[in-house]
Amino acid sequence: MIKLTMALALAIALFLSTGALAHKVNLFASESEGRVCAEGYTADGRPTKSSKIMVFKGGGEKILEGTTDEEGVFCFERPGVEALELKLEAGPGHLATFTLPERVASPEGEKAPPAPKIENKGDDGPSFIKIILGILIIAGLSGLYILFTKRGEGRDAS
Amino acid sequence: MHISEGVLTAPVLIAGALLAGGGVAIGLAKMRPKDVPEVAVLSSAFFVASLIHIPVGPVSSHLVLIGITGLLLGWMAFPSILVGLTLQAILFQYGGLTTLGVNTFNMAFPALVCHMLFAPMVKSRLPRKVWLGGFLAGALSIILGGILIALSLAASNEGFVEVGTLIAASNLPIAIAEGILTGFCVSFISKVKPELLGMKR
Repeated sequence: MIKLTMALALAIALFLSTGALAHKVNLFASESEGRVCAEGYTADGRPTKSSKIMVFKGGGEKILEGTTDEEGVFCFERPGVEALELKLEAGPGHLATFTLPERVASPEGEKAPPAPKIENKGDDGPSFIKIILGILIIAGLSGLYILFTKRGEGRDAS
Repeated sequence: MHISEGVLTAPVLIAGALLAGGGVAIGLAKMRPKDVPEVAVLSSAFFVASLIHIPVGPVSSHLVLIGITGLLLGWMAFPSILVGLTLQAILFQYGGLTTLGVNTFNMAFPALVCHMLFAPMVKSRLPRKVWLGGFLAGALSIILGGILIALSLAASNEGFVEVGTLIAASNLPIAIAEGILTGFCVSFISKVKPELLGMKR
């Protein structure tokens, strides 16, 4: 029975590892010529549409609030040069934050470099190795539990 | 179903940790060495099932399998779910370590309630009643979990009605999917290994 169930769990893990999608949300923001664009996306790269983004000053004072568009993007003019903290609320309990550093004044006449594009938004997600590792940890914990329980029982008997 | 770090207030986190700790302690006290493989398999199933996502709204919802976990394990669902959630937090950054207590309670308590309500029903000799018991356990566990999440967020100063509506909308398809899946799982188990449901062959 144990062998059968372990084989079944392994088969499920193998099957799922190919189609697994993560639901962790991420937030990235960049500035170009005084305009900040924040982009929210899930770990598999899908945009977090119609999600609330809040912008805070260093002291925690909220200065702005907006909603992401169909591409998960929300843009605004940067008020001042100080560092900003952005918070994305993508559904109940799903929160991501991003800190935009203080703007460093560029030498006169020199254009600010263009904001970097996020080429590969999705991280690798739950990899096959991590899934197997998780199952092995559960098997190891179970073994340890049985070992210590049996030892305890043996001690009680003697 | 996972609440991220930084969303809940300290009193909610502490209350969740205490409630989950109590449930885990009772679950471990009830666990005998012969139960461990079953707990481990369901913990593994819970660990990987949360990776099946269905896009709903701005984010996505996922299978949880707390209904079947509760039906088969009862109080032992607490340690089983705690282990699964801990590994998800460490390996996949789902939820978080500070929210582990609240997340454990929000998922394990509905599992326990469904065990108490539907375990007698799935022991029936009538296949339809067994399937229905599984369906109700699977679906209700998700709905109860959603209510607990909404309460946790509401206790952390988020509007209960607003959050509850969002959670209900995103969890309803999952509740139906989970109910159907649990119904078939329980029907299968009652045919091949009825002892797992507490039935005699």
